[in-house]
Amino acid sequence: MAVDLTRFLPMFFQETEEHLAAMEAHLLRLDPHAPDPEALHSIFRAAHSVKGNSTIFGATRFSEVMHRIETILDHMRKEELAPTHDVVSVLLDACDGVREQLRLLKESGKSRPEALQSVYDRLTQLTLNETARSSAFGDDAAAPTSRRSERFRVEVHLPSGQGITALPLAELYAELGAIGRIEDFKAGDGTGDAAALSLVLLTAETQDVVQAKLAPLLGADRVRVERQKALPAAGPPASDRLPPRAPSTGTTEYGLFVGEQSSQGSRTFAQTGVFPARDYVRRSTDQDPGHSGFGRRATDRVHLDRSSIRVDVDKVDRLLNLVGELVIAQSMLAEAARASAAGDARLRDSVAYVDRQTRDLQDAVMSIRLLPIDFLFSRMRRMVRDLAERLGKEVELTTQGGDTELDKEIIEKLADPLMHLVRNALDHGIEPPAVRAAAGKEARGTVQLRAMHRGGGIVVEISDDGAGFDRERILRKAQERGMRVHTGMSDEDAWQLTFAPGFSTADAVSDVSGRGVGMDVVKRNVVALGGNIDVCSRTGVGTTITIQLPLTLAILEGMTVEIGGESFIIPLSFIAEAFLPHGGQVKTITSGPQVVRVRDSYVPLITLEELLHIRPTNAGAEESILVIVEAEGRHAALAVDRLLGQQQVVIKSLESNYRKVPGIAGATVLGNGRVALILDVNALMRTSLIPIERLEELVLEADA
Amino acid sequence: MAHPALDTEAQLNSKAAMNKLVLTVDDSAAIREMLAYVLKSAGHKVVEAEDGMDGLQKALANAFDLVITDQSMPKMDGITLVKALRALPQYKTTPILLLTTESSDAMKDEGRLAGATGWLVKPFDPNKLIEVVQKVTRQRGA
Repeated sequence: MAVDLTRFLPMFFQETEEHLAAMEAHLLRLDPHAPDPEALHSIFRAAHSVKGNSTIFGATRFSEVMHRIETILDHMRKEELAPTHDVVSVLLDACDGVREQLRLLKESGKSRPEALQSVYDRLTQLTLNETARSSAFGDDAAAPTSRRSERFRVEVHLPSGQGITALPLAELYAELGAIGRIEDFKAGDGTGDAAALSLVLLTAETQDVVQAKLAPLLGADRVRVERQKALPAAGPPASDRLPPRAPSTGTTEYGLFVGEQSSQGSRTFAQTGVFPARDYVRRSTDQDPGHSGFGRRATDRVHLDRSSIRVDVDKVDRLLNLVGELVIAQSMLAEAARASAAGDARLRDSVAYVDRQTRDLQDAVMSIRLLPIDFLFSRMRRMVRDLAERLGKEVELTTQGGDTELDKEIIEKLADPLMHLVRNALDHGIEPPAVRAAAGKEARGTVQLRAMHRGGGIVVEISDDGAGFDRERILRKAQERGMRVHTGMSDEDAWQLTFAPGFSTADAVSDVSGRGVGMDVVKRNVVALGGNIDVCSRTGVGTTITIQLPLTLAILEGMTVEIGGESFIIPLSFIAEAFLPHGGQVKTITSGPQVVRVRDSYVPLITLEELLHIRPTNAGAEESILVIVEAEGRHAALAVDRLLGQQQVVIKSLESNYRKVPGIAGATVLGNGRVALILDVNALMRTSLIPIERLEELVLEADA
Repeated sequence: MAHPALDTEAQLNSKAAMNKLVLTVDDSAAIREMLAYVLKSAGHKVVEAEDGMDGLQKALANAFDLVITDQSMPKMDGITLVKALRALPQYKTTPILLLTTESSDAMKDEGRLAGATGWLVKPFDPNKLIEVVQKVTRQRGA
């Protein structure tokens, strides 16, 4: 039978990349004093899978490197070798090396395995070097912060004569599988005192929890859970015990333990070249161009072991789009039902029901595109490690809320700003160890990444316990650039200066940050995502940067307003308040534009007239409804004729359907079938003619 | 799955060679697809499981004619799965093949002691896979 298996190669390449990513993620999280056995096991398994896959695309050198890694991990597992910084560095370099060769193999069908020689030698050195096997273990002073997994022996005893089949096995396995990993298994024959079933469970749960999970299923008196002190009797996977030189590429492909003899003499693919990578290259030129940079589902492997299927992102987007259309169709239906059959309760109920279901459907589809932000956080881990080393600083990265989910597109677009901010924290925030010590701080600095839900969106925080922003320096630099500063300005205002285009406090362009891409770009990127960024810094204490983001880019909560007979949507997140002005609240100042007094301050009045040639129907701002919008910490008033109501709208790109229009963020279709434009509040603010800082002055001038 | 009762012996033989219900257990989706592709092309039906635990639960819910399992997997490894299956009366004699990365003696000992029927080295030759599947399923029927 001729079966062409080359078509599976792309899958193998991708899986190998995922395994490498998982290895890296786990390596970066290892506690050098108390590595979690489960994490070690995961790394081992990933290395083993890479080894296996490598034989499939004939890269035996990868296998040798991975085999070395397996050996090192086995030493770690037996607590003979501590995963110190240096050891982990070698392992990370090995992953990098293999990843790079994999890329070459994928792109050109050829790798340069000799490039792996040096890392291979370093790995070998680790397995030999006795001094490297320093015992960082047993140092209880450095207690691990998180709970380590432990092994428990679980025994189930049944009345004599009852075998394992008398047990609710499916439920039992489901309970155990949910909390850990089963490593050994023995079944008794139902006679004597021997346990009917005995297994070893590796879990991060406590003995009591394991007991409590099983007791209801089996009866408390039948379950015995004991902590395993020693490593399980079953040895490490067979591969560990291979002679070190090279993994066997045996000449036998299968064998039976009983009955027939092994089939002899058939050769593996790697040797016969039935499975050449070159074939793959020809096929794969248009294959998933997006896999560099953002792997599609690298998180699957880090958030290990969830049952999942692979779906092309385009298919999900198409689904999302269709649901968007459905939501629009639904609101048209609702509108029609309201208009034509005001009294028909059945119709009204049905429409309400469809409405609810449509929203649920929309939420469900939207959630498909959500990825845990840990996807980004884990990428930072590696960067922090490498960068700290280069800068000669000691930095610990901690994360919180990594399972917070965000739209895939937002995650992708957040990568650069986040990377920039973390880089800044290391380069400018965290001080060198000596400086920290002199300031009475711990030599090791901390950078914390946090994500959480707040309101209808997500907040991401990057905080460090470094030097804080240098107020004097910021003011000086701002002055040099001709920006308006004064020594009495508040810290908050001073920090805002750093967001000005091209602003940099660096005197010399450093290797790390300060290459002219500054906070202004970070801010622009965040704002483009419909988000907002805030700085809170205290000299000598540290800096916290807060990024607020919407959950998704596909829908937004908006206020529909009418201006000059046209409907517009103002994103709700920008609206501070709306009111009917009373006499004297709107003023015209010398230079022409109008301002509105809101309580004690003045805000500029924005009109859509110059931008879109749309004039409110109402005679003047005094007769309009004023909507106060807020963006970038500034306020402005927008005069509208009517408020039509608040609703969720599906965003349609104006750019892809028409062209980019300044002041307009997109469009949507309303329930009445008409198109409404979504206002880009940020852009509108920028078009405001009056420098906001000078408002007060101008008003005073006008009053005089 | 269930063979019609009135088949002739010849039909039974030919059916015995095909149309087996096979459980494949591997955490690599690529390996699972490859196995399924080859096995289905030989007329077998395939159920996939992504780790030992998943495999065990699927094995409890179905009556498989053959189990092919990887060794190194999350949740429960292949050797443990073999032991757990062998403890169940309905899988006492079912052929179980271990998929391995190398064919070392240590691996063979471990597999044999756990109760596996045979082993198969990855990457496997499709023809060899069909061959060994035929051998072990026929062996059992004989």
